[in-house]
Amino acid sequence: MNRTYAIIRLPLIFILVLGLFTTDLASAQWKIQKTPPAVQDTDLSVSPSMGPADAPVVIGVFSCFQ
Amino acid sequence: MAPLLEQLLEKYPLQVKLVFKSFPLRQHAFAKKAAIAAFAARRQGKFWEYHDLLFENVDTLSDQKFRQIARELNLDMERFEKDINDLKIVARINQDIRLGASMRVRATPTVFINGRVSRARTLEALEAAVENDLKKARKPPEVSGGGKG
Repeated sequence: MNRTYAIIRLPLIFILVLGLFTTDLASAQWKIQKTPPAVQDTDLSVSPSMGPADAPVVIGVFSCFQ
Repeated sequence: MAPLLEQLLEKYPLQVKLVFKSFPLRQHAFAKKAAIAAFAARRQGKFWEYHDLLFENVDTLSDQKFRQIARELNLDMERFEKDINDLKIVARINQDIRLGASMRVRATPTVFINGRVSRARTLEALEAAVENDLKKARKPPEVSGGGKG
């Protein structure tokens, strides 16, 4: 009786844990997508930028620090 | 303007890229030095942090302040000193100034959205401009020459 119970229970626990992990992973990916990548390139030939390289909208700002 | 653009990037993290161009105005004594210092910080991967602190200290900029900000960001001071005297950085900033002049930039900030000057100065106006360009980007290209057989 106990053995049958364990056979049913263990896969259920495994599926539950796997489900939790998958949800967590999906949420982590969402967070990654929501955060604009901070580009900290040091190459002088390109301008400092923030956001994805293939963004459909590019905003160029000419700024003066004073 | 910088905080507004940051808010815009937060709202459109996958759709908007922000590109910084230096355009130090001649009437501001420390503007060019500030740009040079920011690019020197960039060499150590701290451009945006330095950029934000420059704008926070905009009324008190001085040679001393540039070094103080660099220390606050834990930059390698020896390298920073070397880089603020690097003519390659000066040339890089001059390149942005020439580009701005060729694009008829007269004041700052001047914002270009997909190559067109934008007068949007509120988050709502910037969002509307971005949405407008996103709509254009989503539109499938028109097929020309769909002639009759």
